[in-house]
Amino acid sequence: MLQVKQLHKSYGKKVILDNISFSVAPGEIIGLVGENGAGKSTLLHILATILQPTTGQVTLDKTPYERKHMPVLRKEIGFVPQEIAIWEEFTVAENMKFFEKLSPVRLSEVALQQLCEAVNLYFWHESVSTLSGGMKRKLNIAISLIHQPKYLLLDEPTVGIDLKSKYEIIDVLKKLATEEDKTIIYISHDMDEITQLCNRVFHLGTDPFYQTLLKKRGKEVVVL
Amino acid sequence: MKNILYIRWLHIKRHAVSVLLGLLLPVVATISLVAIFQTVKEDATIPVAIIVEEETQLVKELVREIEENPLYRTHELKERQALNQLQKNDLDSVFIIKKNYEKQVEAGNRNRLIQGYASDMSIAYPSTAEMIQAIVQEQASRYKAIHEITNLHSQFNRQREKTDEQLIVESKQIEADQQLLQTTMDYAGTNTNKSVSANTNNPVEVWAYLVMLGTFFLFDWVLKEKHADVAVRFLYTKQSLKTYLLQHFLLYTTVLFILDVITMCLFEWLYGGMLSLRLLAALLFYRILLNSSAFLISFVMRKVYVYYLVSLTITLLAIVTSLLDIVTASPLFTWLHPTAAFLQGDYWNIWLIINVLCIILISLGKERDDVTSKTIT
Repeated sequence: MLQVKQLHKSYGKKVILDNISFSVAPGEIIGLVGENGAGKSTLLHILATILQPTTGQVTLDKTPYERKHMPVLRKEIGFVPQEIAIWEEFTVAENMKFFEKLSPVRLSEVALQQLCEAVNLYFWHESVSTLSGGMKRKLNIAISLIHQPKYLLLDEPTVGIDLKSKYEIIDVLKKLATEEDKTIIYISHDMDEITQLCNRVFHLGTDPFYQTLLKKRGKEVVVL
Repeated sequence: MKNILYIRWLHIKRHAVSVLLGLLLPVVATISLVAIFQTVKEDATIPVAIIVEEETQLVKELVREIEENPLYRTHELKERQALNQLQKNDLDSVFIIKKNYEKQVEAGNRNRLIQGYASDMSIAYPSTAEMIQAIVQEQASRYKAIHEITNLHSQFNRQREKTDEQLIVESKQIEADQQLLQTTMDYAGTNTNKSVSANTNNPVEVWAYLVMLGTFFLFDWVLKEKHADVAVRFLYTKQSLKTYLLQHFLLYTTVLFILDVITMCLFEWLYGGMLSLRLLAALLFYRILLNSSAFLISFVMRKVYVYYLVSLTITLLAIVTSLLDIVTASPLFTWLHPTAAFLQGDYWNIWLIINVLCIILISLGKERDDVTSKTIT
């Protein structure tokens, strides 16, 4: 269970997140929506232990987000950054092996290949530089799953890719939540994706556009 | 260790050309530069033929002294052969040491002892003739001194205690001790004094500067990997990005030191007379200095082209300052110049101490939780 209580984040006088509280149960898929600059990425980066909140409390399975617990917390978190964080000059196999060697979890080459196939990525020996944007995004997700995290945090993982790849990624994420009981928190500006994928939607920011749009599609939105 | 090697291998095989260039260029360039310098040096010497008509001690001494002059390339030929080569301009000049040379010198006669030949193309004949005259003068002066001593003894009706040979040996010893007749003729920059200035005649010295540049280019991986988008993933790996970088720094230092030792063995085989335990120890310290400098500069830089520019500037500055006598003469030079300690067989200099302290501080420093310096909204 992920719990966030009275979270506040500001850069100098600029307040980004103010008094945010929510909790997420295992296996849930949460969508984070809101206009640009609303603080979605900041919140996701705090949950991913990349940023520290100014005040407030975050706990993951009752473990508080404190420096001394970071190694334990980070074993449970898989973060998929918005940038494609892979080695462009490597092959798919080399990327997977590279991060497996650094991972706290040991996986065989077969297991790594299966992990790629689970995200519909079948170009094991292909150089990443020759892959399409969609394939790279899938590899971006596969690498984040190597250490078998319980929580998967994704920052716009389908941005700039074709529709087919988008649907494939959505299917993969659904499978991860339902079959492997992974908790997923997902940022997107694509309301079709959000409607299809998420159990619940959290809205950040002041612009009611996304809220109204989702409500029209029958999706309940929690305003943070 | 196996994992570190595997990971590094993945990177290296993708940048094989630049890595090989960084590793081999210093060795290949050193061997080429030294070969070029030796060829140029040989071509720049003056070809002179010496023909001897008698094989006496004084003649042998005269020939040896001419041969020892690094500006001349002497050939011992027959007279006809030598004059033939002179006509073809293969020789600059020909000198014939006449019969009875020793007797004439001992008798104090300095005239018509040597016959010199030159052609229209002989550019060095006057200076060569002058040098030979100076040696003959030197030998004749010794015998003149012996005659004076003999005369003085006979004036005072005393028996001489030393033979001619003993007096000659003694006079040479006095000359050497007091440097009475020492003359040095040098090309600019090739003096024989012990110096740490850039000397293209010394392969280790040439290599020291080239390997500095090579090391800087080999260490661009620190900058590239530290600022890659994948850096964020190191939060979720079993080791931090900092530990990863430091482990690979140690791996590079070990591998490059082994390659340095192989290079020194190659130089020993090619040039000889340079390999010693002291050199190897100094080499280890120099390798640590180079790697730590490259690592730290690369660690703090953000743009690759700025890093290359800084690397080039540092190397050029090191070369230029080693050529300036005013700088090398300073007592601080060994302590401040990056190659001086190594080339003098010493170990420490100020940069090595600073670098080692910085590496220790980095390794002991706290991990940054916030890996993104930019503001995320």
